[in-house]
Amino acid sequence: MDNAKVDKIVEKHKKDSCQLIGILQDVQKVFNYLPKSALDHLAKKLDIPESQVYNVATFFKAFSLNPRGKHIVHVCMGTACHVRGAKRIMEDVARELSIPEAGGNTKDMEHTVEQVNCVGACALGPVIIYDGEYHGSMTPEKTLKLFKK
Amino acid sequence: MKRQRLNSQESLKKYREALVKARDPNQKVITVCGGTGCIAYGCKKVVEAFKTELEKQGLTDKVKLLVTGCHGFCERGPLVVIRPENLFYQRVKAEDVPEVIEKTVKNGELIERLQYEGKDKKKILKEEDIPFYAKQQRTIFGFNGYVDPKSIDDYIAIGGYSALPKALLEMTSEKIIDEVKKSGLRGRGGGGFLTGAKWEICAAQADQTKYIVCNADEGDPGAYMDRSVLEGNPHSIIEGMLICAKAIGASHAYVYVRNEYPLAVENLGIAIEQARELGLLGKKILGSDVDFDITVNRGGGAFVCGEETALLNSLMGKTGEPHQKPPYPAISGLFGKPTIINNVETWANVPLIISKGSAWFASIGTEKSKGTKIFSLVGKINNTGLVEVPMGMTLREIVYDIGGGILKDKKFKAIQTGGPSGGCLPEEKLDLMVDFDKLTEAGSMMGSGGMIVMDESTCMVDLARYFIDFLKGESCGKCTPCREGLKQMSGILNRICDGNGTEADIETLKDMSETVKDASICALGGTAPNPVLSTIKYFRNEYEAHIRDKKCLAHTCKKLIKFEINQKCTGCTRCVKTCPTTAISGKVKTVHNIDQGKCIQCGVCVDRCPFEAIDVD
Amino acid sequence: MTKEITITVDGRKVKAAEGLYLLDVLKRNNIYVPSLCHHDQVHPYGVCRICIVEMELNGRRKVMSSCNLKIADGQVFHTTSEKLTKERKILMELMLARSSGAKEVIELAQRLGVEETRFPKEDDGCIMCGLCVKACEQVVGVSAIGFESRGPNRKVSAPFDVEAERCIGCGSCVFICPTNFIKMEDKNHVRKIPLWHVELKMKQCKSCGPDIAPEKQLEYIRNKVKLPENFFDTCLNCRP
Ligand SMILES: Cc1cc2nc3c(=O)[nH]c(=O)nc-3n(C[C@H](O)[C@H](O)[C@H](O)COP(=O)(O)O)c2cc1C
Ligand code: SF4
Ligand code: FES
Ligand code: FES
Ligand code: FES
Repeated sequence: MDNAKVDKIVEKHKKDSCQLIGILQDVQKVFNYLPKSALDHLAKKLDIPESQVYNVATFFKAFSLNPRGKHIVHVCMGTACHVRGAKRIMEDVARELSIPEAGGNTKDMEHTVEQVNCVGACALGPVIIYDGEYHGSMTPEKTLKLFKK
Repeated sequence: MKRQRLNSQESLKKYREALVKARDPNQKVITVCGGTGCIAYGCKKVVEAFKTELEKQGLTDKVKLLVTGCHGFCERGPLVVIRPENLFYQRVKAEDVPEVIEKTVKNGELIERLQYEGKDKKKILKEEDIPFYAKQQRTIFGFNGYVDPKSIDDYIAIGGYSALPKALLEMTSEKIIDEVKKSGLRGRGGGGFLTGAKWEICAAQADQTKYIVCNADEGDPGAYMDRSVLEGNPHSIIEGMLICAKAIGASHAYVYVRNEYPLAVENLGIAIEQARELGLLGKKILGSDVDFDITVNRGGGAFVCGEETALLNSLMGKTGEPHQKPPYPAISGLFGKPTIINNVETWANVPLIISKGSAWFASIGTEKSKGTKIFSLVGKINNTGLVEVPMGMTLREIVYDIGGGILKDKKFKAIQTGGPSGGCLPEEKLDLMVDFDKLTEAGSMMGSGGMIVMDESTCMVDLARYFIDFLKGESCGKCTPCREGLKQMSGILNRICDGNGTEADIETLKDMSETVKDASICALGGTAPNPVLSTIKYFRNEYEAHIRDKKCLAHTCKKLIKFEINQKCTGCTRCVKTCPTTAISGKVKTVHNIDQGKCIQCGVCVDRCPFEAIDVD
Repeated sequence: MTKEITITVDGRKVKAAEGLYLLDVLKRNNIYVPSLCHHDQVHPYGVCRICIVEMELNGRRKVMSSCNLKIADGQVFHTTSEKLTKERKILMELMLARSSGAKEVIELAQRLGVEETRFPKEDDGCIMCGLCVKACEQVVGVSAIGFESRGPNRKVSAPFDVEAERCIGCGSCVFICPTNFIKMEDKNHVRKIPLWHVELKMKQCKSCGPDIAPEKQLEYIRNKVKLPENFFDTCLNCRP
């Protein structure tokens, strides 16, 4: 069944291996991460070596080879956010969710926290994106509130 | 509405005339910014409220609601501008909407609380009179406030696609290239290479197949003008590429959009569809012999993919590994074919040069940097946002006149231009005229136009470390100097920030910088040491303070600061409750104490304390 | 067919065919420029950067790697400037810090006048030259292995760091690795390359007995050049 999902994505991209990044993005959207079996199948479908797929999947930050949590939290560490205290915010998030400061999954798999570099809302820095929703001008207190729901 | 194909200059002209005729210049238009900044402030709710309210009041025919791309003044979002008067309202909430319609739209009354207030506490009526906008020259970015990015008709009605027939049907390839060359346009993506000269090289290649690429990877963390142009006015990019297609003889283009920009992808996709419907993309465009189409590709989140050779590799389904130039893409690029790759803002300039002429363009700017440039003015500044100014404006004018000075009236310390590959300029350089060459001379760069303002609370060593750590993580890892060099530089900078630096470190950093710059394959490594070199050059005292005195002058390097409670403490115990490590103790209503062994310097207590009773040293 | 051109190297005129790689031309003319990631059998990848030279360009000098630089008429190069010496030394210091135990790195460092590195030492046998990956792709045509991740985390690995399915056990990567980082062991009729997590059964010669090569490799060759089924039943020596 999973392979069928991959097939559909590959067809959508006309089996064009130049679209590998786009294909991986679509695969990740379906599975929430990039499972090995899907990538193996993908390589066969596109007739490219697994090493190329694996290389691309590990090169780009947008891809995750490990399952991710229910909610995706992006903490912006871009320069504009940095000078307005993004590091503090990241530390607070990490402490609150008991995850490493570089980001990661919470034990209960409720949250996956990822650091990103600028989400283009620099005027509102520091910024957190919670499941696609922007939260600007974050303070430590606002951050804690976000997770205390 | 199904549109008919426009197959001649005449049919486009008629189409435009019909659009213009159907539009009343005195029509009331409520413009709501729908850019990413304003979305973050909740403008979608405002738009909904306007829709419901206009319907409720039966005004949908009389008043047009226009949702646009970013207006630039994101700090004050959500923004609403009411035209034709250009009345400017800021921080508009959904609750304000009925009042705006009732008072302002229907009766011409102003709502003071939504107006912009100048420094002298006077309310400012019109968009163009607000200091933030008054000094700008918004030749590219200005259109954003007048078009719905999802409507090709809006773009055509304001004169869009008028350079196209001129280029396709009236000008020869040589003439187009000549105009672009004479305009003096230089690439806005960072390198500042003369666009016309690049096109000329590519046009001269014998190969029949050529490609065009739009670089919308915008990796500079802290800059978002490419995104805003692409989101707000995608047709200007399409038109620019079409003109180049004729000039160099290409029939296909790729737009490589950064992963984090879904709205740009969406709007660009719609724009391409609409252009195809009208026959502005496809075969024999406007009856000329130019065939052209565009594919949109999304990036996967890698700064290095902004580098042109890396970008081309990733367009071919590989990782973003750059290669040594030459060969340049203009000679051997995508699939080994001659390829023109330009930045979003560069493309947006092209139609203007063709329709208004190279002389007009060359009249703006400085001797060697022509036209305007959009900067992303962010950091510790009052008016954060996107500003478009003629080349040659001084940093001071940008920071103080447009930017409104430093947040909370603190002291200006430095401005980082050019993003991670740029440099930090100190106060003495505030009167520097901003153009490609002046910035480079000063040890910084134009880059893609990021401007990050810093006040005294930013530690310059920490900033250098931030950039090197960023670049270390974004390096593709292919070549030794960049991969290993940045790793070691990061190690040294981290050591200095932790108070373990040695006197020799500064010289080692300088030594290594030279090698990393020269020996790296691409300009990521080639420019990475700039923030280190410029901070050493202008703020050496801060490095020395960290190394010799173990002091961080900005009080931000954790290992070098100490939190202590002073006599102002009232014993309110608020800090006790917030401290994550229970380092604070004390009896209610007596001065508290911090256990230095437990303190992790998180600073939560400082934020919490209402009495300024916690000193940082 | 190819045009003969003239370039200038350290003030000396050198004639060569157009489009050759500079490093090859230098070698042929006995001009020493160090190199590490270069190998005649694979396309130059140009990553170690130790082969840098200076090229004159619009009145300035640009530092470029020579192994992957195609020469054109009239170009002027310098191979021994003070700047290059200094930068090569720093590059060696960086490599020495990464791979402090690799004999080849230590020797080249010494040759270039570097005894010690200022940076904290690690002992990673892999210098990231990429030769194994390129050989597997370009010489063997299998692409069983590749790069993983990026920046300082970049490494060579089998996909997902589990058994490299495509690997035929030919050992090309082992032979081409300049630092002996990739180990291979043939024992009990099994070939092991632990880095790629592969263990492959060896085929024995039907007439004299000893291992010839991994079955998978022989199969691969047989399919590629369309040899008869029983072609590899006997070893080279026992063949009629
Ligand atoms: C590390 C690195 C990142 C870059 N990022 C971008 C980018 O995000 N956008 C861009 O337009 N150019 C970027 N460039 C510059 C491009 O390589 C290239 O010069 C540019 O796209 C050419 O277009 P232009 O002449 O219109 O500026 C980057 C260069 C480097 C070395
Ligand atoms: S300089 Fe850095 S980013 Fe550029 S090729 Fe070398 S390792 Fe990759
Ligand atoms: S730096 Fe955080 S949104 Fe731009
Ligand atoms: S997003 Fe609204 S002004 Fe920038
Ligand atoms: S030998 Fe040329 S870069 Fe390694």
